Amino acid sequence: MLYIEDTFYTKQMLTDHPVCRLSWLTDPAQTVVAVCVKDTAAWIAFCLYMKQMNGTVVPLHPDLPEAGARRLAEQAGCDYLVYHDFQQPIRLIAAKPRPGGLIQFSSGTTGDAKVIHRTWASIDEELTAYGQRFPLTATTGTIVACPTSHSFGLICGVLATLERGATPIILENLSPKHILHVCQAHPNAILYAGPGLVYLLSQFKQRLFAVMISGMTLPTVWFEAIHNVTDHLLQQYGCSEIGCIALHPAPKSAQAIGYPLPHLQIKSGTVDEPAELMVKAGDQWIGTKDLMGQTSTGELRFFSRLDEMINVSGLSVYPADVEDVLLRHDDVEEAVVFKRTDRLQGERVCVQVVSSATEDALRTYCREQLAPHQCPSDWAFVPAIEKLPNGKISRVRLGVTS
Amino acid sequence: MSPLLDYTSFCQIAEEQLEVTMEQPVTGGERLRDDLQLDSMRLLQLLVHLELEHGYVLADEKLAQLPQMTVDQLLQSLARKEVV
Repeated sequence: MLYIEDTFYTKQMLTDHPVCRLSWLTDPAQTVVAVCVKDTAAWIAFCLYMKQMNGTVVPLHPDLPEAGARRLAEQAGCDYLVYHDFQQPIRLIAAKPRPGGLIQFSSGTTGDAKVIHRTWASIDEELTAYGQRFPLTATTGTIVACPTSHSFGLICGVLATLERGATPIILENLSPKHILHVCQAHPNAILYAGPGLVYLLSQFKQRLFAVMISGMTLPTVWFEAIHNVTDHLLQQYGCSEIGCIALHPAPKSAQAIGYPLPHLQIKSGTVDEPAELMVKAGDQWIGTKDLMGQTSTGELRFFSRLDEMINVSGLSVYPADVEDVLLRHDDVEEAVVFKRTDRLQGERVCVQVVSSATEDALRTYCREQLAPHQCPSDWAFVPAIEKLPNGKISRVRLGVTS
Repeated sequence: MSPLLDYTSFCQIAEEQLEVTMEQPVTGGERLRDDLQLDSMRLLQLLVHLELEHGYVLADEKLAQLPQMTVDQLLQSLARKEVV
């Protein structure tokens, strides 16, 4: 069934786990339980049990303080909060009954955290489609080096691996050397981890068999460093409302998002005329706020977050286009392009660079490579680009704070 | 045993690698997470850099305590990487 670190759990061991016989949980199908625990085996056993019973679970990050866990559990309308002890849950006043499923919170990097409810049926549909598009052999195991309280680790890392009949190896110790050691011990398994961590791993120069990354705003330098040490680099893209939307078996750049999963209906633009990617979930179209274009082979290419695209007097500037040009300059290590409002042009192009070149030299270089409206007007030379804890860059935040 | 790194070198490495400004002077009692505001990814990044660029390692079994450590505790816990 699965490993948690080096302990193997059979299906029987998980179904016999005490968390599948809780005296207070008399009607799992009608109960919403938030779970904040460090015991991974107990969490996975409980999650699989609730899925089977069609109950609803709300996974919370194990390091949340109690007040934070309680606030989220209340926001999600839970009946109970399990805070590190399955035998002594905290009783809450539930808001409304829900069909069985998984409740998550959107990451909130672009706005306030939102409660997102998905039914197990929609997750099962995603798992089947994900398995059809998974490009490695079905027996490929998965090293899950990211939290199983989030959908990337839980749905794509653990549940999708079980669905294809392979073995997940869930890690609790996320030390880079430990992860590399586990990769060596399981040379045919694919590693699922956050982009920041995979980038750190790549610095050890150990060859990796396969890595799944998720996060399209991966800086080019990171993407290349990871690409250089990996035999099979895969990329996936998704959002909390729908789950995984697209998967790429061999991306050539961070912008190559992948091919849409077969169970989804999508609408997007073309490479020449990108448009917001829309995805149909149930009978509703959901906007991803990501500007994308689909190539003639069906590959989705990422251009920009809708709110990151820069409108200079009616002309669109995609930050990635300008960044790509800058990053090709020998003396530029990192570059991030973002917008600020401009009294005359609506918006203007701003850049933060890590570079030993002078501003004059880079301005001249840009004028030789870019259209005038694409050339940055505000230049900031910084020792390093500010990143969010998950390794991503918020261009919106840079525009406000820098 | 005296630590392998002094405060000045530690601050310089941390500032360069982690995009942070350390309030001077560092006296050693500052907690890495609560006083210096270094989140877990930044701490990992610092450790990887200390190991690969400077040859100082923190034993894996001490990693879980890292966020709660003070600067002094971290510097005392670093060991010279053995060359194989």
